Amino acid sequence: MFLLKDYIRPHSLSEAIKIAESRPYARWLSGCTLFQLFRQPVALGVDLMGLVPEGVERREEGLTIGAMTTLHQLETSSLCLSLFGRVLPQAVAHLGGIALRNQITVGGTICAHLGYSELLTALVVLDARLNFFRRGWMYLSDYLASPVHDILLSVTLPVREGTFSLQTMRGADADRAILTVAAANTEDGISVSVGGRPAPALLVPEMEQLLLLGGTAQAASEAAAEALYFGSDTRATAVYRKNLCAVLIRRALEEVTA
Amino acid sequence: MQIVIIILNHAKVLWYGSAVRNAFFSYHRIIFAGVTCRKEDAFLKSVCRSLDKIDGRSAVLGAPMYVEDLAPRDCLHVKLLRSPHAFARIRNIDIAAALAVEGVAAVYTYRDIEPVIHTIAAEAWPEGSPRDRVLLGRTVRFVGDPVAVVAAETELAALLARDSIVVDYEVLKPLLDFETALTSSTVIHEPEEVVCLLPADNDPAHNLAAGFIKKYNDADAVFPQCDAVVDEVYRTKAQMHATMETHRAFCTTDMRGNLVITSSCQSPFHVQRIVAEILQIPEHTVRVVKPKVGGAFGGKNSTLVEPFVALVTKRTGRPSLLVLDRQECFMATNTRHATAIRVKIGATAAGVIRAIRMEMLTNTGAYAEHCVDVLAVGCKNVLPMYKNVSAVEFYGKAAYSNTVPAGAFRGFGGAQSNYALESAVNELSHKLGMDPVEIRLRNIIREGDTHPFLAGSTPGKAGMVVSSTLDRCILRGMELIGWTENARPCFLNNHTVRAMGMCVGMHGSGIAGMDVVEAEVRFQYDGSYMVLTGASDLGTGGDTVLVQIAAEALDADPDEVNIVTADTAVTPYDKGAYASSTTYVTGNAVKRAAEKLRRNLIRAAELLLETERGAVTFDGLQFTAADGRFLTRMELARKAAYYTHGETLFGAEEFPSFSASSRYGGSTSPPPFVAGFAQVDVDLETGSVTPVRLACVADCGTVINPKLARIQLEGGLVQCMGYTLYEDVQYDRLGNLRNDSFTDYRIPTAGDIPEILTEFISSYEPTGPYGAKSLGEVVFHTPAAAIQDAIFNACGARVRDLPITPEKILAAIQKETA
Repeated sequence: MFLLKDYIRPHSLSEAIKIAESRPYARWLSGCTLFQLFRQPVALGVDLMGLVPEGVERREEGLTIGAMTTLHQLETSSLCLSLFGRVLPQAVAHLGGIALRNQITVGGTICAHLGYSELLTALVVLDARLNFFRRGWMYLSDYLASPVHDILLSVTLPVREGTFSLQTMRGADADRAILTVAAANTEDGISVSVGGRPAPALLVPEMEQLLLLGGTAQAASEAAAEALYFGSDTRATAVYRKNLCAVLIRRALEEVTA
Repeated sequence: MQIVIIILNHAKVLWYGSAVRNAFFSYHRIIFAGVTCRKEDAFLKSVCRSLDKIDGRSAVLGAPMYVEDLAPRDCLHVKLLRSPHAFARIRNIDIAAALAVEGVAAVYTYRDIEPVIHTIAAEAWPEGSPRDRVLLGRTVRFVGDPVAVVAAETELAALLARDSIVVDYEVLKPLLDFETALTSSTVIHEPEEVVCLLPADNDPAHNLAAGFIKKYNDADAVFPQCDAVVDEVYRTKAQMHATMETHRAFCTTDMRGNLVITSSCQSPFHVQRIVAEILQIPEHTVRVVKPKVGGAFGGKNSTLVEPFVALVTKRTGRPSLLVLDRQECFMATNTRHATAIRVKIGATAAGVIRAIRMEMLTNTGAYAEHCVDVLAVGCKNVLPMYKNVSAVEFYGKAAYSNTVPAGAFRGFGGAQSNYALESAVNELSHKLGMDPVEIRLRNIIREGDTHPFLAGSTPGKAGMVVSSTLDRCILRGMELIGWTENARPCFLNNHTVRAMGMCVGMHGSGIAGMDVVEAEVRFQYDGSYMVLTGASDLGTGGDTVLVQIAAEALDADPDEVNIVTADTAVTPYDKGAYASSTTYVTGNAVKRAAEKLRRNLIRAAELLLETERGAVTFDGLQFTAADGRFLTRMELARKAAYYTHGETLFGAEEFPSFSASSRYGGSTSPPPFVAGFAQVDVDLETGSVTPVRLACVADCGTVINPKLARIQLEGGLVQCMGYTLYEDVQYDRLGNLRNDSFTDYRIPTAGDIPEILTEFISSYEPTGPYGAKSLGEVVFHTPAAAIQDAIFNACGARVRDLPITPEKILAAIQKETA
């Protein structure tokens, strides 16, 4: 339950943007799950229902996921189950229960740039591009590095052949990740992303270089973990996350290069 | 003759369909275990049957039966302003802005109520818990301590008003580490602010809430004679009860102006006494009703919400409702006591345990609810497990700190102490090179054995275990988990090892010499029965079990036995649902009352049939005289109700009453026993633990309802699994709870639950109803030590501090290999 003091349902996206510009305290409403964790009432909610696309489609430019698509739709979509080694369904399957995943939207997850999100970690490694209402196209990894205030319409993933892996460590099932690593080995090479540091997911820079230099997956993973910054929270300390990171990257690499 | 009875009974047993297996089993037990038991106990019909919970279907269908469902619509909504500081004194409170909020009916602060020093621990009077609370005081001692009460027409108005109160605090440096509290210069309670009705070794000037010492001989004299000694410290964290229904109560007034409190609580009669005391009104002007409760686990055995609604309704004359939100439930109710327990235990080379010393320090948090008894249970319900000891000592202390107050929680000190003792015994077995099963079988207390710490012990005479199948529970548990076949840890892949661990546990059944309950059973004019008890079913199925016991005594169909419970104006006194006592203590009272009623009914039939005393038999449906004349139960009921003509037979004073009451208070607290086993997978590179199987075989005496007993057992195992592996109450440096939501405080969910194997091997407890003992708490005792040793067996690293998180395991592995 959360308290909404005022509520507007705009007729168009431009109207929604105008409201947000005139009233900076306004919040977009999509799945409304994060608000339930807020302790403070929401002063104004602007409902995006019906304005933002929903559903998963295969288009020429790649797999397109509407921002209003729920995590459970993603989990059960036949396209997601047949592409990218099923990492997308895997990335959402452990978040709460189905009831919760029926509410949480892909757009909400991205725009809240949640650090622990396995979905963001997977989307980053899949080279996701975001389509915003005003700003147009933008890479997810760029967005996570410097978020913009806009309305997300859809996410597009280039469909590539290859092998993929998602490695997640969590304290209990259905809990947020302590650390999560996604890896892809495609025609564009090997890439690895790390989320739950607990800051948002990012691509490990120069993963291929590290592999070449290190020689073994073990050495490359340790070098990659060494280069990343980790923080502490109630779930784990930075030291443990760094240790864990090397292990999970190595396992992901072993899986995608096997 | 005995053979004939067996054949006859066998035939009768087969007749009762679903009861066949259990009844036949219990019959075998009676004959072959050589236990003497009354003849009629062999014909169990209602007992030993897996009946559904009587309210289960309604609960599943969402019927309105919980507190908030029943509250009047025009209730004032009550909200509490809570302290944002862990330790502070209130200089001033300004409530002007709050009173100005539209819809606000009342705002109360320390200025509005007499500071009556009390305890909110719902336990028998005089309470063992030191009295150290006032309802609204000028000192706040943890983040969440109530500062002001707001009542308003709507919830929103109440929230707005609450947030408009301005409090000027003098913030003090909090004391958060209970392990250093006893030597700290910070004093949380001034000595004049604490009153003890019973000796508790309470010393507020040194933050000592209570002490409890028990000694049998001198352990230090025995340790030098031991070939192996383990001396380690084990730490357990606080644990949240995490009930589905948060704490809540509403209050109305009856037509005489008396307060009627409907509360999700465990002990209505104690709540009645405590509320009356705080408001300084006579107890008979307060009535407390417990409807269906959505989980309690001990957390609702503290009177946390009822005084506030009573205050509001008393002052405003309006009904009022207080529902704690989830965050309040985490930060401002109560937790399991965190502990640091040092165990020193010594054994001979042959594995005979000779001496045990336990030093148990608990964190009682800001207030001292239940702290004395938690120490006592940690001692008396755990240490008697090993019988061969020449010396056993227990030194318990409870320390104050500026954290969430601790309180009652399933296991009640026994959980923590059992974890420490059993872990030490496991370490001892490793040191001796013995199988942990072997050391148990060699040392556990068995039927007929005595121990000076057992309930029922008197000076110079140790208490005795009269019923136990623990040895068989251990052997059966070994079979269930495959202990012998899977003895060696095995690698599942290059970094995952599967291994097992085990331990045993015991508890008590009610509190010997203290618990007293009364129960009434009535014969209704329609031929049915009505049980009235003050017992509190907390969702456990206690009401169902009591119905089964009454039905058994009356040879009735359980469907014909109704039950009304837990209403101080209607039901006889019962101390409430704590100390694992509904089945054993209240069950005994119900059985006695039902048997008394049965005797009354037979006497009534004798008068009606005009026969000699003892000439009428009753099979549950009809009363039959020796000459074959009979009277059905319905006829008796109808005639007695409608055929009265003045002072004739039915109206005569001598005619037996159709209502019978009886009492029970035990001089013993027979321990139930459990043998628990765990199999886990440990990832050596990440420290991650995945429980694969939990097995537990329990002896709770006769199993009154196998289905309800099984869910108790499974629930207890899973609740302790979360406690062992990830439930981790954390505070920041200012004393704020860091994980005050289910997002950050993880309890096991469906995906975490491993394969669970449970069985019961019944002993026969002669003092229990139909041979039953308790079960509700002992089920929590085994997973912690069993999982801890399984992890050690898998990775060679021992983590003694709960929760055993992957991070701690990995650090221990790295230390081991360094």
